[in-house]
Amino acid sequence: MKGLLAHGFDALRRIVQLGCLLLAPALSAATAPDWVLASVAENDSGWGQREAALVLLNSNQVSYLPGGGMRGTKRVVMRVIAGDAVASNGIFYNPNTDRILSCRAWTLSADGRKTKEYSGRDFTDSILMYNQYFWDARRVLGFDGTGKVDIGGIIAWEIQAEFHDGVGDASMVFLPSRPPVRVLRSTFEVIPEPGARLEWFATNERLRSPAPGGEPGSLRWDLSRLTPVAIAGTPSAFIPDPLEVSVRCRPAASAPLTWNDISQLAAQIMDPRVDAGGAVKAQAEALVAGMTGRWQRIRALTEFVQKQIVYLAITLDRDNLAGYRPHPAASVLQNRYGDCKDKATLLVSMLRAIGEDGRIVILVNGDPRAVSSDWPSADFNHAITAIPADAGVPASWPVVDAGESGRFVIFDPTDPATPLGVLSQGDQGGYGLIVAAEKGALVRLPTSDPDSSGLVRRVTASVDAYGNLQASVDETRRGLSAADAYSSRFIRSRQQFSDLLKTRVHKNCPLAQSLEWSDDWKPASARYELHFGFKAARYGRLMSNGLMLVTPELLGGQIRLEPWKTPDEGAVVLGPDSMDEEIRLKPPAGFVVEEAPDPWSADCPNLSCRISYAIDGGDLIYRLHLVRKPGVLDKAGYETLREQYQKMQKAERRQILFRNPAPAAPALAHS
Amino acid sequence: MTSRRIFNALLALTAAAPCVRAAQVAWQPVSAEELAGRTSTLAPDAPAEVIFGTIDVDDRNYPYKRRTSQYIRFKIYDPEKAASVTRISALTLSVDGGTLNDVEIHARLTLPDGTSREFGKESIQTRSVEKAGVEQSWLQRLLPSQGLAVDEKFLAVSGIEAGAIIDYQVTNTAYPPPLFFAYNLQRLNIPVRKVTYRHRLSGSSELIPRVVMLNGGNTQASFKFDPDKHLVTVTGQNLPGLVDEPFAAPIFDRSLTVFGSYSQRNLVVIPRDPTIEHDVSLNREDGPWAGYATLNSVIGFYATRPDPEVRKLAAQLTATADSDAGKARSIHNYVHALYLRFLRDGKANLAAPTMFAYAPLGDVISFDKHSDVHIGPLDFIWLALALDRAAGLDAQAILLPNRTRVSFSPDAVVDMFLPDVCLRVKIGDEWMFSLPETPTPMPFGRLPWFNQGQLGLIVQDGKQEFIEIPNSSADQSVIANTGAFQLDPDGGLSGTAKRVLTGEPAFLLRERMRMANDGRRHNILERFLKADFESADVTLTGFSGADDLDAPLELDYELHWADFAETTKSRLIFRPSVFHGLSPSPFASDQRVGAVQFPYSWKETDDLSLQLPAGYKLESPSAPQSMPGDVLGYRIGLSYRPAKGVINLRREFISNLSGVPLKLYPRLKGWYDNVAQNDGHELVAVQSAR
Repeated sequence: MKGLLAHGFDALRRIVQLGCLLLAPALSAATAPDWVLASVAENDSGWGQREAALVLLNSNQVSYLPGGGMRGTKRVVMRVIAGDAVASNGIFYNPNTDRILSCRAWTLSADGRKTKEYSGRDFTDSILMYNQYFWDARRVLGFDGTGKVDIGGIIAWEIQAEFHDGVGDASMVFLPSRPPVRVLRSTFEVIPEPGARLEWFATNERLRSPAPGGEPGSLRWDLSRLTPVAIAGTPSAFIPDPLEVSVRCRPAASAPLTWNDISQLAAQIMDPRVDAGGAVKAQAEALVAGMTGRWQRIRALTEFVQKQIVYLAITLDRDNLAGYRPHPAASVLQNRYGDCKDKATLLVSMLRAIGEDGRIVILVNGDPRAVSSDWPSADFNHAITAIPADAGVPASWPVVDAGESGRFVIFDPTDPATPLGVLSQGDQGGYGLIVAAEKGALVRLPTSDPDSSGLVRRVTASVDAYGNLQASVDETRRGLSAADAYSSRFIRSRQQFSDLLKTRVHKNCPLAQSLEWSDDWKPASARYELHFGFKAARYGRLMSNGLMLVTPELLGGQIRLEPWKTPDEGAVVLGPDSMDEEIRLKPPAGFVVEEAPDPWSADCPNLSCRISYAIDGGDLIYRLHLVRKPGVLDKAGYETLREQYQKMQKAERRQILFRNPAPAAPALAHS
Repeated sequence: MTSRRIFNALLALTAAAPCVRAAQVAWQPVSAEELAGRTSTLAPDAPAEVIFGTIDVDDRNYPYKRRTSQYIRFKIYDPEKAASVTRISALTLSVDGGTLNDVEIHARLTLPDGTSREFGKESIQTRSVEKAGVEQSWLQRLLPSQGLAVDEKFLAVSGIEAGAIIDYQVTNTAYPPPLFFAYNLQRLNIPVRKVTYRHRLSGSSELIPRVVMLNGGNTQASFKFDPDKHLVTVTGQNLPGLVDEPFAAPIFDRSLTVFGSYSQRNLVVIPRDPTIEHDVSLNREDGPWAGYATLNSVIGFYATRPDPEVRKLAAQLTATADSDAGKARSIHNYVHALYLRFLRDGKANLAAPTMFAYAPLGDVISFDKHSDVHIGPLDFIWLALALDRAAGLDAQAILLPNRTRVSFSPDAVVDMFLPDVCLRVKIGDEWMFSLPETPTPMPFGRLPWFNQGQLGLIVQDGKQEFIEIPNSSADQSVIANTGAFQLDPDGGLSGTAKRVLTGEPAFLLRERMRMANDGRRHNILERFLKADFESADVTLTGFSGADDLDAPLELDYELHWADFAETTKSRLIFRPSVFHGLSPSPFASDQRVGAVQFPYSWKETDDLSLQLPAGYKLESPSAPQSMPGDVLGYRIGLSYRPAKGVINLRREFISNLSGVPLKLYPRLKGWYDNVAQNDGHELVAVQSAR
C-alpha cells in the first residue's frame, strides 16, 4: 500500500514537473541581471589579457540576522579569454547548519546576443574533502561554466545562503585563489544586525580604511586589480598575505571579545570530552607500568597516542559546534583513530590518568602569522598539547611561559614522526591558545634553535689513480632536522628509501653503485643516524697532463631557494638549520694537492657559513660549518639569504686539483 | 531493419538455472598461525597483507543485474601505513532516484589476543558525495529533480592494533551492469598470499561472454572454465604488491587481471533510413573478432551513407589538392580542426554514452547548431570516412588497441582491448593513417605512440582481418637543440638557442597549448624550456608551428646562466654539454620489479658553440666517450679552435627501444648512467698567462 501511494505520488510529481518544464521558457526570460551587465561594461584596458580568464567582479555581501546567523550573497562575473579557462565557482557550506537560498548562473556569448540562465539543478553539490582522512559534512556548491561560452564570453554566478555556524567570523579573502585568475574588482560589504556594531580586522594596510556601506552601520571594502600568486617566481615556502578581512557583529554596548572569552568557549566545547577514568586510565597505567622517571612515563603516553592512534577525522554530530568538538577520549582510545583534537584530548586524558596534567592548545598550523594577538578569534585549524614543565626539561625542548599557569612543554601528538622534546615545524613561531575554563592564555609558540637542530656529516673518501671513488658517509641529525629526516624514512618502505638515497647520490655521482646503508632512530634523544657507503667510477676526472679534478661536494640535495620574483605581499617562513661537515679525501697514491680553493665565509642576518680546506697527512680535509637562524623573512631578507646560499653552493662546488708529479702514460684510462 | 547473427567461437553457453543465496554474514575462523604473524612473509616491509581473498561475481541475472561479493582477509602489520585497507569506502549511484547499484559492507576485527568485534550496518556512515544543487524553495522541495547522485558508504574499522586481522565482506549489486568488467587481483604495495576469483557467467543464449586472464604467466595463477556451470575460476598465490617505477608498463600489463565482456548474439541496428538494408551473416571461420569488426562496419555503413552535403564539402575541401595525398590531408585537417573545436566548445560533454549510435553527418559538420543531437567522437571518424570516400579515396576504419591501458593480443577476445578508431587511406600503393578524432593535434599520416606497434582490426563485414601498425622511427620524433653561447670570466653563460621539435614531443606540447591563446602559449612554452635549466634564466623570444600540424614546432630563446662554470683561482671548470650537462639518468634504482617500457622511439641532436672568455684557453682538453649503436646510440663530439677560443659540441642520442625485459635492466641502467656521466663531462679553461 505504501509502495502504491509512493508510486502515485511519484507519477503526480512527474506530471507537475513536466508542466513546469513546459512553462520554463516563459518563466525564465534569458536576460542577465543589471549587476552582470554593469560589470561587463567596465573596461580593463587589456590588463587581464595574459590569463585564461578575467574576473570582472567578485562581490560578497553579508547581513547579520536578528537572532543570530548571517545571510550571504556571492556574485562573480568572469570573462573567458582563452579556451583553457577554468570557469568554475561556488561556495563552501555545511548542510547541517547552513541553508542555500538560491543559486543562479548566466552565460553571455561574446557578441552579447545570446544569454542563457542556469538554476539549481545545473549546479553541482559535492563534498568538500573526499579522501581517506576526512569524513564530514562540509560541501561545496558550484557551477562549472567551463566550455559553456566561447572566447570573449561571460559567465556570472549568484549564490545566496544563510550561515548559522555561530562561532566563526564573517571573512573575505581578497587574494584571488579560486579560480587563480586576475580580479578587476573585488568588494566585501557587511551589514550589522539592527542596533549592533561591527568589529573588524584586516591583514593588510590596503584594507584598513573601509567605507560606509549602504545600510546603517555597514562597512564596505573595495579593492581593484588583484593578481593571484604567480606559480613561477614564487619561493616554495612563500606564504602570501591573503588580503583578508574578518568581521564580527557585537551588541552595541558589549565589551570587545578577549582571548579569555575564546579560551572559555573552547574549554566549554572540549573539556567535557577529557576523561581520565575507565579504559583510558587502565591503558595509561598499563603503558607506564614499571616506569619511574616523570618524562619517561610521559614519553610512553606521547608515543602511544602518536603511533597507535591513526589519523582520521570523522564528524558525525550535526550541530554548529560539531566541527570543533573532539570525540570522548574513551571513544578515541577504543577506535584507535582520531583527528588532531581527538588525539590532543586523549593525551591530556591519559596524562591526567597517571597524575600528570596537560592542556589542549589550539593554533593555526603552517602559518605563524595567521593568528594576530590583536584579534581574538576562534579561527584555528589544529590542536596540540601543553604539558607542565619542570626543572628536568632539557634546554632544547619547546617550552612556553604561560604566566600564572606556569611553563609548559609543547607537543604535537598528530605528527607521527616528531618526538616529545621537539615541536613540528608547522606548529612553530605563531600564537597558540592554551585552552582552559580559567587562566587560558595566548602564548607565542617556540621556535627551534639551530644549536639543537642540525646535521653532522663525516665523510671518508678515497680516489684511485683512475678517478674511481669509494666513500663512507656518517650522518647524525638532531632535533627538528632529525625528526624531518626520520619522517622522510618513516613514510617509505626500505626499498623506496633506498631508491631515494640512490637518487640523492646519483645527482653528483652518475656512476655510483654498490650503495649500502643502515639507519637508527632514537626518539628519546631526537637523533637520526644514517650510515651509507658507495663507489663511483670516474668521479675524479683525470686530465692528460697528470691533473685530476675532484669536487668535494659528493652529495646533492642541499637547499635550493627559488628567486622571489612575485610582486605579491607575503613572507617566507624558514626553520632553523645547522650543518657541520667534514670530508676527508685521500688522493690517489703518488698524487699531491695541486690547487685547493681559498677558505670562504659569509655572514648575513640569518646565515653564517665557513668553508675551509686543509691537508693532513696527504689527505685533503674539507670542512663546512653552517648556521641558519629560523625566521619569517620579507622579500629583502629572503633575497639576501638566497644570495648567500648561492654563493655558498658555488664555493662548495669549487674543484680540487690533484697532480701526479710523474704521470704514467696513457693518462686516460678507465675502470 | 537488419538483424545479424554473430557466432562465438570461444564459449557456447546454455542457460543456467538461477539460484538464490541466503543473505547472511558468515565469518571464516581465524587460525592461531594467522594471528601470530608480525611481518609479511612475502614482503617484510609491507604494512599489510592479504591472507586470502575471494571474489564471486554472479551474472545469472545479467543484463539486469550483477552481484559481486568479496571476502577479503587482511593482516595488519602497521596500522598507520595501512589506512587504505582499514577504511572502506564504496560509492552508490542513482539517477533521478533510480538506483544504479547497492553496496553492503561488513567487517570483523580480530585482535592479536583472539578477541573479535563485528561491524555491521550500525557502523556504516553514509553521505552524499555529489548531487545536483537545489535551492530550498517550496517549489524545489515539492519537485526535486535529482539528476545523477553519488553517495558514499564508509566504514572505518576501529580498534586496530598491529598484528590484527580484518575480514571484509563487501557486496555490490549493479543495475544494470556495464558491458565490460575488469578485476585487478593485486594491490598497490600490499602483497596477496592467495586470491580466488569466481565468475558465474550469464547462461543466456542471446549473449556471448568472453573472459580472459592477463599476466597469469608472471604469477602463480590458474584459469579454469566449467562450461556446465558457466563458471570461470581464476586463482593466484603469493602475488607481490604493485609498485610504481619509472617507465613501467600499464598496470594491467603487469598485474594479475581478469577482463571480460558480453556481446549480443543477435544484434539489431535500426538505420535512420528504413529503406536501406545491409545484411551480414557471419561464420565461425570468420574468426572471434569478426563480430566486433562487423558490428562497427554495419554502424559505419549507415553512418556514412552518401549525402549531398558531404559530397559538396568533399569537393570544396579537395578542390585545390593535386594528389590523393593532398586530398586526404585536406580532409584530415578539416575534420581534425572541427573535432578540436567540438572539444574546446565543450560539446563533447553532450556526447552519446555509447559507440553503438551515430549522428547525421550534416549535424556533425554544424555541431554548434545542433545542441539537441548527441554527437560523439566516433561521428568524426565516420565524417572523415564519408568525406574520403566522397573524394574518391579508398579508405577504411581501423579499430586500435591503446598501449596506455593494456597490450593487445588477438587471442584475448574482449572488445575493450580495441578502444580507439582511426582511418587508413590508400595513397598510391601505400596506406596512410589518419586520426582526426583525438584531443592531441595530430598530422595526417601519424598515429599517437600508444596506438602504434600492435595490431589493428579492419572495420569490415565478414572475416576478421588484422593489420600491423608499425612503430614510428626515432627520426620521426626529434628534439633538435642549437645554440651559440659565450662564457664570461665569472662563470656565467649567455647566448641564444633554438629548440625544434617534431613528432611525439611536438604533439605533446601542442596538446598542452591546444586551447590557449598566444599569451598563454608563450607561458607554457617558456615553462617547458625552463624545466631543463635548473638555475638559469630562460626567455622565450619566439615560437612557430603551434598550429601547423605538418610543420615542426620551433622555439627561440635566450639563456642566461649565472653560475654555469665553477671558478678556481685561475680556472673555469664547466660542462660543455649546455643542454644536457645536468640531465640525470632516469634510472637511479638498481632494483627493478617490472620490465621497462618506453613510449616511443626518439632522437635528440645538439649542436652548439661556446666562446671562451678572452684570455682563456682549454687546459688539456679531453672528449667524452661515445657509445654508438642502432638500438641505443649516443655520440658526442667536441672540437676546439684555439685561435678563436671556440668550442663546438655535437651530440646525438637515439633510442629505438620499446620494451626492455627485466633481466636486461642492469645493462640499460648502466648505459644510461654512462650517458649521464658523459653528458657531465667537464672541460677546464685556464687563463692564458698561466
